[in-house]
Amino acid sequence: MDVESLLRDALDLKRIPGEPGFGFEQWVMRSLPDRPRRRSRLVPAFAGLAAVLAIAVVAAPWYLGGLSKGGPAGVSASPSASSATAVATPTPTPAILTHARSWGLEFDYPAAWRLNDAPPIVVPTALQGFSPAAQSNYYVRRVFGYAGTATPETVCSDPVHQKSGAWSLGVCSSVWSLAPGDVVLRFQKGEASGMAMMSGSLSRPPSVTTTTVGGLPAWFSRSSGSVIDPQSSVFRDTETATGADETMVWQLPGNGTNLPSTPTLFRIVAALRGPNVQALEAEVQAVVASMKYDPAVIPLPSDPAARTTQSLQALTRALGYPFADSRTLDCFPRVPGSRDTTVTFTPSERTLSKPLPVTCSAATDPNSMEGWTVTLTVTWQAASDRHAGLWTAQVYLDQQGGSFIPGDSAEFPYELPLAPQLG
Amino acid sequence: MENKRDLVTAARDGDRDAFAQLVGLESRDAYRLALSILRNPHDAEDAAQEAFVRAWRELPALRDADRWLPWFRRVTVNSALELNWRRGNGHATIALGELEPKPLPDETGHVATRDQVQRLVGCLSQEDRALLVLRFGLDLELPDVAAALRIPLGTAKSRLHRALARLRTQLEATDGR
Repeated sequence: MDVESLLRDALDLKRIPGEPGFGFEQWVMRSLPDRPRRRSRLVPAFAGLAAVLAIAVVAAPWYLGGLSKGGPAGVSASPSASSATAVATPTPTPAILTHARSWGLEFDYPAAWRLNDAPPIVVPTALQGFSPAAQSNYYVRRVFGYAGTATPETVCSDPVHQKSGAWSLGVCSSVWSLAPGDVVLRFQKGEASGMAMMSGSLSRPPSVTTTTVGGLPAWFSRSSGSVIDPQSSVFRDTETATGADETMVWQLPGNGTNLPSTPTLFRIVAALRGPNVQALEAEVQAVVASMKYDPAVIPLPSDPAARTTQSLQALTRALGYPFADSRTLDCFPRVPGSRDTTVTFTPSERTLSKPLPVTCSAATDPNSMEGWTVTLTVTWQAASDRHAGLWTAQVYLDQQGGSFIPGDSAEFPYELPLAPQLG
Repeated sequence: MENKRDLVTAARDGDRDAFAQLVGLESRDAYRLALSILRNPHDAEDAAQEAFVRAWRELPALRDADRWLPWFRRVTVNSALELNWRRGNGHATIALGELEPKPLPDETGHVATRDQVQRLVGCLSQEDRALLVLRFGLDLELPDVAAALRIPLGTAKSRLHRALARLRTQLEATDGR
C-alpha cells in the first residue's frame, strides 16, 4: 500500500480507538453559555432522545472520581496558624492548622481534619499490564481529593471493551454520607476558565457571586440543604451530598501565570452537617481564604517599562493566533495603535471579492487574571457599494495561554461564500 | 424534526435540547478527531468540549444548516490546535497505541501496519498531524485543508509534501529492520 492509502486507513475516525468519558455530554451542556432563542420552536420529534439524555444526566452524576497515585496528599509536618486571621467570621476557638500543598493549591486546614487523594482504582485484568499513566486513560478524572472530618467513598465502574473495538471509560462517583458535625471539602476539576469568566462567554448564574481566591477571581455560591449548586444556568443536573445541612461551591479559574501547561481549573465543593453549622462554615471559609495557587500567581509588573514589554509580547502572542503564518490577522499593527491598509481576507478567514480599504487597530489592557486583553478592531468607511462597518475581537491572555472571542461583528462587504465543500 | 439539518436549525435558533441531541450524535467523532491530533485523551476531551461550546456560541453565524458537519469539524480541529497553541506547543503526548492494550485483528490484517503508521504520525508536529487528519482522515481537498488551518494553499502543499516524505522514509526504514 502507498503511504497515502496507509494514512487513509490509519486516520479513519472509525479506527481511532477511544470514546469520550461517561458524562461527557453532560459536561458539555454544563459549559454552554446562555444564548437567547431567536424564535420559539418546538422539537417534539426529539423529545424521546432528550428524555434519554435527561435519564443519563440523572443516572450518571458528572462528578466523576479519579485515578490517583494513592496515599495521602502532600501535607507539611509543621502546623501553621498564619491564615486563621483571614476569616471573615472567625471560629470561636482558633483551630490548630496544618499546611497542605496538593493538586496545584496550597492551603491551611484544621489539624483534626484528614486530607486524602482520590483513592486508587483497582483496574480490570486487561489493563493491569499497563503503566499507571496508560491505565488512567481509561478513566475520567475529575476529583483530585478530599479534606475534612470524613472522606466520601468512591465507587467506580470498569471500562468496557465494546464490539466496535473502542473502550467506554470507567466512571467513579463520590458517595456522600455526612454524620453530625462532619465537614468535607472535595477538590475537583472545574469548568470555568479565567477567560470564560472575564469574557462572559460562560454566563454567571444568579446564585453565584464573584470573589477572590489566591489572588484571582473566583465564583462562589452557598445553598441550604444537601443539594450542591451546579453553578450553571444551562445545566440542570444536581448532585446531593447526603446528610448535609449546607453546601458551598467555588469555581477557581486556575493560575495561568506560572505553569508549564494550561492551568488546572478547580471546583471546590464543601458539605457541612450541624450542629453548629456556622462554626463549620467559618472553618471552611478560613481554609479557602488561606488558599494560594501552587506555584503562586505572578502579578503584572508595576514597572512601566516591564509592563510595556509585556503588553507588546501579549499583542505578538495574540496576533500569532493560532499560527504564526496566518494571513488573516496580518492587517493589525504589531504595536498598539491603528493602521490604514487594504484587505482581501477577513480576520475570520473569509475571502473578499475585491480589496477593501480598512483601518485595523490593536489595543492591550491588563485584565483581572494578571494577564492581558488584546482588542482587535477593523473598521471601514461607507462607499457607493457598501455601508460603513466594524469588526471586533478580543483575545484574553494570561501568561501561558489565551482565548479568542470574536465580538458582535457586521458582515464584511464583498465577502464571498464559503468554499462549497469542506468534508 | 427528522434529520440533523432540522436539529442544526433548531439549535441555531437557540434550542438547547436540539443542541443536546447534536452533542450526543457528534461527541464520539469530535473526540476522536481531537484525539488524532492531540494524542492525549484528556486533552482530546477538553478540545471536543470546547468545540461544542464554540459551536453553540457561533451557530447563529452558520447560514446553511446543511454545512453543519464540515463546519463543526473545522471548529473541532481549530479547538484542538488552539489547545496546543495555549499550551505553548510543548504539552506531553501519549502514543496512540497505548490507548489500545489489545488491538483486535481485523478482516484486512493491517493492524500492525496501521499501528505503525499511527505511531509515526504521532511523531509529527500537531500542525502536521492536523493537516494529515484533515486530508486523509476526513478526505478533504487541499484548498479546504488550507482554509481549515488558516494557512495559504502553498504552505499546506509544502507541509503535506514534507510530512509525506518523512513518513515514507520512516516507513521504509522500519520495513528494512
